[in-house]
Amino acid sequence: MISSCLHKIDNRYLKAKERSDLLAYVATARARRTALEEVRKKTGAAIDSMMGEIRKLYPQFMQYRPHGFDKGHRDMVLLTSMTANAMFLGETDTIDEQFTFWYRSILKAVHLTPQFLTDTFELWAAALKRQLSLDTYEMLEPFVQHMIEKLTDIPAPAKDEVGERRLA
Amino acid sequence: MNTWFTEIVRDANERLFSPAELDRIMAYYSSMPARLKAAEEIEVIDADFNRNLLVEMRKKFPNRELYSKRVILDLLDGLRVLAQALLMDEPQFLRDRWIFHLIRVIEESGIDPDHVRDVYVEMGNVLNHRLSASSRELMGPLLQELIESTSLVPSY
Repeated sequence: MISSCLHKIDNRYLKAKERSDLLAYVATARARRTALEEVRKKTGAAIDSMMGEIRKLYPQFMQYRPHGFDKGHRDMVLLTSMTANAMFLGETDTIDEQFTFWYRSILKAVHLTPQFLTDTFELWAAALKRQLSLDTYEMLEPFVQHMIEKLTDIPAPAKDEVGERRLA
Repeated sequence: MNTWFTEIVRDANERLFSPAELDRIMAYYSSMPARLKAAEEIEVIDADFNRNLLVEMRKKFPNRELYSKRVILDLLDGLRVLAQALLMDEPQFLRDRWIFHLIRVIEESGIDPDHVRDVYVEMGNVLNHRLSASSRELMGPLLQELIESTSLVPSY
């Protein structure tokens, strides 16, 4: 928010709307930091929980990718951190440039199906909602939804490499 | 250019911001209302400079040919960069975007550096006189560096 606003002005002063947007944003900074600190404490439990569910849903996945769940766990922690940083900054441009587009390429390259990705990210959102306080999740949710939208917008691979989807 | 802020954001790639990084950002955020107020005050003075500074400089130095509308507009560009650096809390932005350019122009153009310095000093005097105490305090180091930069070119 701050960075994108202050870098785009060039040889001019801020407009009234830009000033009021900046003031409104900095007024929420303390709450954003509190939310980020809660994410710091609870990310591990949330990701452990959602990875347990995705393992059950795709029991054959390890046949295709023996280290897939371990790498997936690492990536979901990373994704949660970047999403929380975006929430703190109050904007998604930076995270998209720095992380989202790169990570979408990775997801595309490893031939995960759109259904697998949708399941993964929905379980991720649900686990965060369970683990975090209502205030924190409400603050984080728009950024979680942004990431889900960007990271599930991937074409179906020619070959399925996730195995059977087994509903309980 | 990378400001301290964008460097923190870039360095936090693939991890959460650290408590120390958050402390630095929060300290900056807490100063933001005062920075916005200072920039607003500078904007008001900018408009007055645009109308009056040329007249003042010609009155003070009637024999100097340097002072023209173009020079004042150039000075005001520098003032806007200063206001942007103030909002960013980033002196390096002022150096990279204005001061190095100013020094080079003075060196290359053969203009008497004293004549340039005097118009910057006049601008500084007006700003120091008209800004509120809190804005003056925030802007002081940047303004001082800007004015002193004109002394980096030897006088004739």
